[in-house]
Amino acid sequence: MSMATSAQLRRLKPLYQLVVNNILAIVAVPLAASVLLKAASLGPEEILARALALRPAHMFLCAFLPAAATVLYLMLRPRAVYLVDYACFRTNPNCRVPFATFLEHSRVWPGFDERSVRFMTRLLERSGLGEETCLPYAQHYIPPSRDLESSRAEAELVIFSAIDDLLAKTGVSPQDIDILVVNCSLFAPTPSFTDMIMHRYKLRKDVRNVHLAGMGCSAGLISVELARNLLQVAPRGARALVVSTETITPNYYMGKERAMLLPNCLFRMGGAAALLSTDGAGARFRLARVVRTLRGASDSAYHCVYQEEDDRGNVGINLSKDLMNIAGDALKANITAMGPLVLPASEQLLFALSFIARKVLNNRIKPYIPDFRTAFEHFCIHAGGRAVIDELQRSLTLSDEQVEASRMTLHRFGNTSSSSLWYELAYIEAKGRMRRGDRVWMIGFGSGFKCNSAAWECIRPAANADGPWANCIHRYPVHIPDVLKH
Amino acid sequence: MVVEAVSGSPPLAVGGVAGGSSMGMAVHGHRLSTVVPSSVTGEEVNYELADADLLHKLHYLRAVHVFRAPAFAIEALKEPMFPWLDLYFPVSGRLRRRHQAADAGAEGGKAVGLGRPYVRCNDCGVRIVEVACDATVEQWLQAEAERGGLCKALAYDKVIGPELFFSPLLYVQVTSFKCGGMALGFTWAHVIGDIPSAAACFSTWAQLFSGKKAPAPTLRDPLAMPPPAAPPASVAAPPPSVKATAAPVGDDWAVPGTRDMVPFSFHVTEQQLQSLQLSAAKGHQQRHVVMGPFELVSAVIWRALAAIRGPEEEEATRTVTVVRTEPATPTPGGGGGRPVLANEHRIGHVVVASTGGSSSSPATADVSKLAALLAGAHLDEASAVAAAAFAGAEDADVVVYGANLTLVDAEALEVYAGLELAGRRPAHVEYAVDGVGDGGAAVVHRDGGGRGRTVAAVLRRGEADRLRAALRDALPVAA
Repeated sequence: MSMATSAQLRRLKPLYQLVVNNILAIVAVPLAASVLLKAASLGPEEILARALALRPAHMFLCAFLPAAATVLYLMLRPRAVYLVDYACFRTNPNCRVPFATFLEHSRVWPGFDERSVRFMTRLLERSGLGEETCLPYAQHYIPPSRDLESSRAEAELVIFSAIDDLLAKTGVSPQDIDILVVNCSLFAPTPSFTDMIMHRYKLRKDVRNVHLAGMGCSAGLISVELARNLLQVAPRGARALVVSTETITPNYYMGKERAMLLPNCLFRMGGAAALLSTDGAGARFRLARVVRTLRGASDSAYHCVYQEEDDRGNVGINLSKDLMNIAGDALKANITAMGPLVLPASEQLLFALSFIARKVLNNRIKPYIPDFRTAFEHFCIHAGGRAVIDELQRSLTLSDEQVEASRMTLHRFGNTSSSSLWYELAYIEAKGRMRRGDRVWMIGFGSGFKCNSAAWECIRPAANADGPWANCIHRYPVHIPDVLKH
Repeated sequence: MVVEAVSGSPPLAVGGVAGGSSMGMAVHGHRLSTVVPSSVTGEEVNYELADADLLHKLHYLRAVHVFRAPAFAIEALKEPMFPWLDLYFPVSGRLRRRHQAADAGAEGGKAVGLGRPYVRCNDCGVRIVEVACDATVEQWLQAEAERGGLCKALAYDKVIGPELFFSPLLYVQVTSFKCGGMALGFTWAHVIGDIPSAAACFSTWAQLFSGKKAPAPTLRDPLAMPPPAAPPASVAAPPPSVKATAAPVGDDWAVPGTRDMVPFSFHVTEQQLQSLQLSAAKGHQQRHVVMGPFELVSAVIWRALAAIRGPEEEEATRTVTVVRTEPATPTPGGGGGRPVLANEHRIGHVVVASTGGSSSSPATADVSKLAALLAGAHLDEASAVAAAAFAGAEDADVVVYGANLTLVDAEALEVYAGLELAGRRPAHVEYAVDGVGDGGAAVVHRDGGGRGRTVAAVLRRGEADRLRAALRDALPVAA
């Protein structure tokens, strides 16, 4: 296609979108107008006469059937679930790990050899992490301690401060919580974290609590979906507390396999708590959709992120080399499922036409990538690593500003696993970019291989920048160099 | 081997082992961790080292403070360190060398040296070492009074190198005693600051611990500027107070020594000082020379060591190096002074003239005569000494403490009050300089009461016991 033609098409696109997205209105208005004209032409007496001529049975059915259908539809519709508020763990400067310190610890401890240290240096330089990411107290030791006591201490610190923050923000008392869902993939002691929270906050005896372990970095959205499902069968107005975190203390890899050293370099301390409810009073977001895609049936996807022992018996998480390809495939599958649910009619029509054209006419026609910016104003992409964000930006054709939240979260907090999406949402709100009616797309990836996404709609943006970004948002966005100079 | 003279209390058998062994006092269970500044210093911030700083790069200050029970939790000790390092961010940096600019036409004989060291302030942090000791604080204090030299085990014994990139400039060792007491031992690289700078730095931490609010960092402003051009050397040739090392040390910043150096400590009570002053006043006619406790104690040490070292080293022992420190000048507004990191003390030397017959050797000279010599020593600023020693080179390996017998005047330092933690002062404090040359070095500072003096030294193995005996003879214990 020539440049002039494509430029003309681009100018016509908004008009096309306007027409197709509002097709019902565009069709209904002339129809209504013609009906009114016809009625006007007939005159009121004529209409009355025709109406009286109708049989009562027909009139009853005319009124009853639509009413019954409407009521049935309203009753069987799932309850709307709202996000009352959320809070992220605020990191403490006492846990800060600058780049130089991380490097020195790897160098000083004799368990890592020269090659491993060089590899970790190169990784860290290109990782996109900043100088303020935090590791738990136990990992400031050389060598880091991975004992149960320290792991519990880290989990308690993160979870309790996030929940304290949330309860203060929402004014909800712990006794009002009906459902509790916690996800922490790599550390699941007995009693579980949900019991730990019950014990600390003295929750009610009949709370429905569930701990999700082993579900990977996308478990945050799995917990949200689980809470949503539980809210459908709970009494009206029930409240669900969803806590997402990852405990890093017990999972430091102490071996030499390079594929398993990556998590050491990227994973950092973080956690978030969110309060969901079917009662929309005072809520800030509405949960529109959750779509989950699981690719575990395929071998390569299953082994993509695999926890195993290396030759020396050190336990670590092995990341396979084609992680990016598998992530790309999983994403495609997810957006194929998500697209029809969220995209406006104009985009769906274009996609369908392009699909038909490719099938019928010529496979060389480029597939049409739906423009998800018509469906969402904000994007929260799991800050799994720089490569992940780059890959998604490319495949979804997003602008730098739209992936800014993900990149800045990776810089300031590192990869906080399942809670990173909440930190990104907090960034967007702290920057004041959220407006009423804005739609947010959260995309999470995780072991399995899973790609989960959730669509939210904003009801009431945050009143101020208070949160994990409170004392540093004025410094962001920062330029992240390709290779960190140190 | 001289048996320790019995001077009143019987020798204490500690840990079930009689005699001079320090088995019961050994520390074990080293756990290392790191503390970093709480805020990001910045990208590629450098702290330039002056010639005076590099002059002292082979030496380390060992400052040990022993507290009685109850001790403080390690987390509580670490917490104020984060804002503390914001104020002293160069201390958490790491050393690097500038690349040598390729000089067209460099002199043929000059070897391609290593570049000039500087500090990259990359927030790498200071190392904290947690150890345990099986003795109680009281047992330790008694053993220290008996034998001395036990403070070395309470500070982490590490030097800079072999990798400059990964060598912390400050180690803090926290020793837990069996009774619940604790010892805080700082190992401070002399290159980053002199003894008063270090004392002020530790004191700032203690004030933050005790609840004082951290002032805004002020170290940032004068930094990151290249050191000013060396002033015209007022000292024509490198003075005999310092000596270059025989061979370049490269990146291993330790004094290459042929002898085994051991720690030594001795306490001079107020009464002993007074009797020293009386006998010195009697023996010496010159009134205009002020002989303070430092001069008198140092003279006694000098005399005793000269006698121990004997006639083979008579020439060497005629010269001693004198180092005088002054505390950092307080700001007019008070409040503890702004953080200063510099090597600003004064260095000089004193020679006992070889003419004059039989009384010319320091081993036989009058204490008062030696003290007068010390009092009248001509001292130069460390920067001037450095300028002379470096002679324009980028870097030089110089021994300051220990080139000759070195006597350090630290009397003006508030070593006990400076480290007051939550209203409690340490039971025992010792400031010594480690990593010294064969000549040995002794630091004289105030003791707990403020009127006596503590001598903390590093001497050759074999000299320590003999010196203790000689000092006990020379300083009679008041009845």
